[in-house]
Amino acid sequence: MPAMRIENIFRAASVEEAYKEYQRDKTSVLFGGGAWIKLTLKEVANAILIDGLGLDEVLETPDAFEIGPMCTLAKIVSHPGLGILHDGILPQACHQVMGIAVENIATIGGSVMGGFAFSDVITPLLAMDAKLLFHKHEPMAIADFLAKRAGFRDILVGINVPKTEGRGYFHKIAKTRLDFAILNIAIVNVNGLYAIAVGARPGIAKLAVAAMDRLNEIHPVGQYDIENAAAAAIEELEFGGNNRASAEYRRSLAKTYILRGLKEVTFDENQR
Amino acid sequence: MKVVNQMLPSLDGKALMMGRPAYTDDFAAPGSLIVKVLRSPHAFARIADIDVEEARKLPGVELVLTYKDCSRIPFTRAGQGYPEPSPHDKFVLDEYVRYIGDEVAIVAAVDVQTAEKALTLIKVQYVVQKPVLDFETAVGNESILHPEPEIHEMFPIGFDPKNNIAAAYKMNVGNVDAVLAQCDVVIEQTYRTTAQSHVMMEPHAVNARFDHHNRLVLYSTTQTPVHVRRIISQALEFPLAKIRVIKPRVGGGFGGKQAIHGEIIVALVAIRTGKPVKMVYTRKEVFESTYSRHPMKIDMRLGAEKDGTLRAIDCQVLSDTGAYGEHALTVFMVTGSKVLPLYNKVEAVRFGGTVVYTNHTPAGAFRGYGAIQGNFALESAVDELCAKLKMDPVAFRKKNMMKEGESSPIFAIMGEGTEGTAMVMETCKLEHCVARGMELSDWAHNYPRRIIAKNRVRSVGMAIAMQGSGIPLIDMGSATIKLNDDGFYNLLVGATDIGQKSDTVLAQIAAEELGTTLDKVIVYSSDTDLTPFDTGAYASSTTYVSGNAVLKAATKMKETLITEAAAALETTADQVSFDGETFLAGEKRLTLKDLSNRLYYNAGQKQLMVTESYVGHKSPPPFMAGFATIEVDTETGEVDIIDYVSVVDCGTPINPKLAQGQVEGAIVQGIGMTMFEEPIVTKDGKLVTNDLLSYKIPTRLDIRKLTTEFATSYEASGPFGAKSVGEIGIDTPPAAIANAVYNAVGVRITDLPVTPEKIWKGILANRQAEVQNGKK
Amino acid sequence: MKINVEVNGRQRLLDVQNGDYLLEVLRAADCLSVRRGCDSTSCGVCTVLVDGKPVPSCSYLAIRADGHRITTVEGIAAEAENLANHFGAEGADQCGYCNPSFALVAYALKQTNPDATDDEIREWLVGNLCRCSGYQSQLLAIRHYLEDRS
Repeated sequence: MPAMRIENIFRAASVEEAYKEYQRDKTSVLFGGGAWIKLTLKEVANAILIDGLGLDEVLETPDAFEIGPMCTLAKIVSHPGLGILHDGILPQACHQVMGIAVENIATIGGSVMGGFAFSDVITPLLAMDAKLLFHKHEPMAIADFLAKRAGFRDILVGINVPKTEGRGYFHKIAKTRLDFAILNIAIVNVNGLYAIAVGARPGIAKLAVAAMDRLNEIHPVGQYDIENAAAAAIEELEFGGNNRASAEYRRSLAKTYILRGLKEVTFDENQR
Repeated sequence: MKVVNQMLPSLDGKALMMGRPAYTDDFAAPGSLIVKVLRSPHAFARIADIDVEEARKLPGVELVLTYKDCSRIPFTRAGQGYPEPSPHDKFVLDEYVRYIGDEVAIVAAVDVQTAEKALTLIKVQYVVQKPVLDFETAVGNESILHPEPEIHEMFPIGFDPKNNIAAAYKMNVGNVDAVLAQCDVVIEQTYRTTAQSHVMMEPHAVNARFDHHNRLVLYSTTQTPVHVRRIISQALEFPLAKIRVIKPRVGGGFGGKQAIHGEIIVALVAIRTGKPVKMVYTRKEVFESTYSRHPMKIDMRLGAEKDGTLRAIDCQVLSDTGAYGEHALTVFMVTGSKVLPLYNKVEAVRFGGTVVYTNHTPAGAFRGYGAIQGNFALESAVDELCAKLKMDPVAFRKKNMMKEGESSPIFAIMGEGTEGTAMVMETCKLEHCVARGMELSDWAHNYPRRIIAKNRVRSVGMAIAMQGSGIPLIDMGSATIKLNDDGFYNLLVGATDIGQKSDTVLAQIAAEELGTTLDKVIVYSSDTDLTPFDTGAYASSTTYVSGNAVLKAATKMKETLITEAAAALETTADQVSFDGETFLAGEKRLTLKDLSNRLYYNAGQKQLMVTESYVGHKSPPPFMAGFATIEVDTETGEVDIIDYVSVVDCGTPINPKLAQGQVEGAIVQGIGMTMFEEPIVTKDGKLVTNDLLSYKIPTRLDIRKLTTEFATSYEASGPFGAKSVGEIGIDTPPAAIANAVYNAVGVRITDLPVTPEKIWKGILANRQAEVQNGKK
Repeated sequence: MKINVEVNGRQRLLDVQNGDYLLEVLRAADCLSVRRGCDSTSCGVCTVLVDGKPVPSCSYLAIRADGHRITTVEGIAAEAENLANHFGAEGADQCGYCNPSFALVAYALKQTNPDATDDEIREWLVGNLCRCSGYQSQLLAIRHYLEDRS
């Protein structure tokens, strides 16, 4: 299999340098792990590498984890703090991508900036209210970034995941262990404040905001309430069909697993 | 037995684990030209014009060939005995292209980049034809895939290309319609199976060069070196004696490397340029442009008495052979011949059907070879019949299935494109297989289902299967054993080891007979210059057919050794005994080591070398019972496979652990076909699932538990009691799993694959039906 | 351009193009045990170790390997032999095409988590597809290899 044709490699000595080049040359491609780029592009005129700039660390403050964009999925899978946060749903999601070899090269930045509808990583970040930190642009909630990606050209320098005490649930439905998701769901419950995110609908991950808002007004939450919430969530979100599943099956799966997830984060005493 | 039926490590396992270069591309001559093929973007088109001038002029391009540069000799790419039961419907390159991925032009260049660039410089004007993509519309379609006047069958196989028919066949025993009319209970159902891709881990590869005799030498990932050599000679009109085909280690085949892939192309380029050449398929090319499994539509009718006596079977098949007819007839016939005899005591059985051309990737040989499709239909139909009879599916099978000592009229009628061979089942341990399978799967406790949790049901489903051991009167294998000084042997066999470890198994047979150890039998296989004939690794023939040849050769070698030892000991052969190491005649003794050195260097010198051949007079089937234990999530239809139990009668397993590996590898491929592997094609005929991202084979987390056992069985006609084991494992999963799903949730899936969405839809439909019935 | 890499304990200066991946570069540097299986980063056959960690060599840019330590199965011959003994004992070997990648991944597991449970073994190796064996005998072989502290 022929190698990719890369005409020029730009090894940035700083994030500022990378940013300048990225803006100067609108055809340039920013490389994270490069695994997805290798699958989709045969030729790259100008490849910008941001290796070795310290962007591959997980920094922990009292309020948040700041995850560097060049952190490999493997680093996140094995991070003890992230393994505790919301029952470890972020490492769980990162661990269901494609096996450990790919985990060792794929980066969380690549997953997020790629904005792929099939992403298993974006869904829990959405539910955990992650914020994207850029070199120049203001920090953005991940949901906002996903909504207005077209033409957006900036360097991701960090993913801020707030450290809140709460339960988490992540579930990916796929045909085999290595397949793309038919659907994925992430739910977080922080003291009765719920976030419900559904991805691979097959559309990109979205929060069921209206259903969440209604549920979040109810204290305490009972079985009846979460059943309503699940029903409301699937009314609010759009589901489509593709080769992997029909729209109606996706909707049914979503309802079933949102309900199971809500139960788990509400009533299940057992932390994972 | 000291060597046979022992769990000895394979001869090449260690070296391969250590990564020693041993596969086809590792043997490409340095500086080989790279071959790339321009492939059709259309499912069906005529090449109105093709301009390769710019491509030819590109620096580094040595050769560009179009159909105008190639001879017009039709051949078949099928890897089968000669004359082949497949139509000769292929040209090296043709004016028509018949599937997306079909060959349009051949480029040979100094490196990959140049070859790929040259492909982009070839200008083709296609006149697009209307493709035939639905095999149910092939017969009588206005689009005719094969209008060429030169194509032909080698003997009558029902070849009717004007109607898009590649082959057809029918047979009957008794009057099926009359018997069905009398039966208490009849079921009628249509089953559908899809194509399946082999996904062997090593993509197809081939390279060629001229040696110091100016002979054409090819290394190929092939299961059939002898057929490759013959077909190259025929298609390219190149003298057979000037071709040598060598098969090195091969990274899996499963039938996908049984037919010609790139060999003719590479040979042609080598002949035209005089230079060494190589071609390695991309994974996309393996998916789109090699072979797949024949999709089938099978109409089944079964009739029984209310006491459970099965009286009639009617099985009608429509099979899709894709763009070319390799293996069209024979796969389709096996759908009947290696399935229907399972219920041998019926009064009437009818089998027939048609194999049609469509503008899809050609179908070809794939483990199971029709038996998996037929088994899905028959064993599902049997369970459907049992539901109607309200009879336990195991009890029904025990009552009606083949037993040891019995036969079936089908054996005599149906052969490999010709008449068959009558045979009695000298070994058939189905009764044990079924009983033991029930124990291991805890059938009594789990059938039909157990509620595990509010939304979770555990169930079991089962199926029985048979296959064959080579093709009687057609498949020939041979073996040469050569004695060396120091008392060790070379074993030369044509039999093709493609990963199933036949080198090891055959060496075990030789070592057992010669009374020696495995390390004293050095195997060299599959080199058309040096190894004796063998049809190749298919039809589950290696252990039984090639193994018998090895046994004959070893027996002959022993006799010869005893004769020589007698001469050396100045006595007569009947006075000499031999334990593999030492010859004894009364007080006199002579070691093998000393005898061999003597024969090489000292007295009565001669090279001892024996060659023996074997052709089977029957094809004793291996049998098995497969039991699937599953859990179904009744809200989502998702299925977890808890355990798959296989109890197999393959006669003596020559190497029990390797035999278990054959069964289990096949079981997982069968589960893949049943649940995960679904080729998706667009309405223009483009294969969407043409890489491993989109086509999913089972992973080690999808199937956590397999339980495999062998029945005690000794097939006298096989080497040390062995039958075959290469294919039998793949046949039962589709029906066993479909039956388990029915037992779990009452949903009958008749179209593979069995998917959670289909199950979920079925559960909803059942609930709706219940509601309707409740209302009445 | 040239990259400076340690391959199986030996420092090597290798000629690479911008867009070359480790797979081609290592095969050209006589590590023929590194093989191509799929073209879509999906099969695991091409796995090598970079600084002791499994990576898909088909998707690891060669220029990024500069200054790093690469291990192919040629570099862990004794371990591979040991694993092969266990594979042989379980009949877990068939076509062998993907075996070098298993050897490297199993070796990495032994360094990282030698007490891995069966499920952990499966998880660790899930990205390494095998079409021949049905996976069960391989699990047993790798478990024995991990337990073998000789």
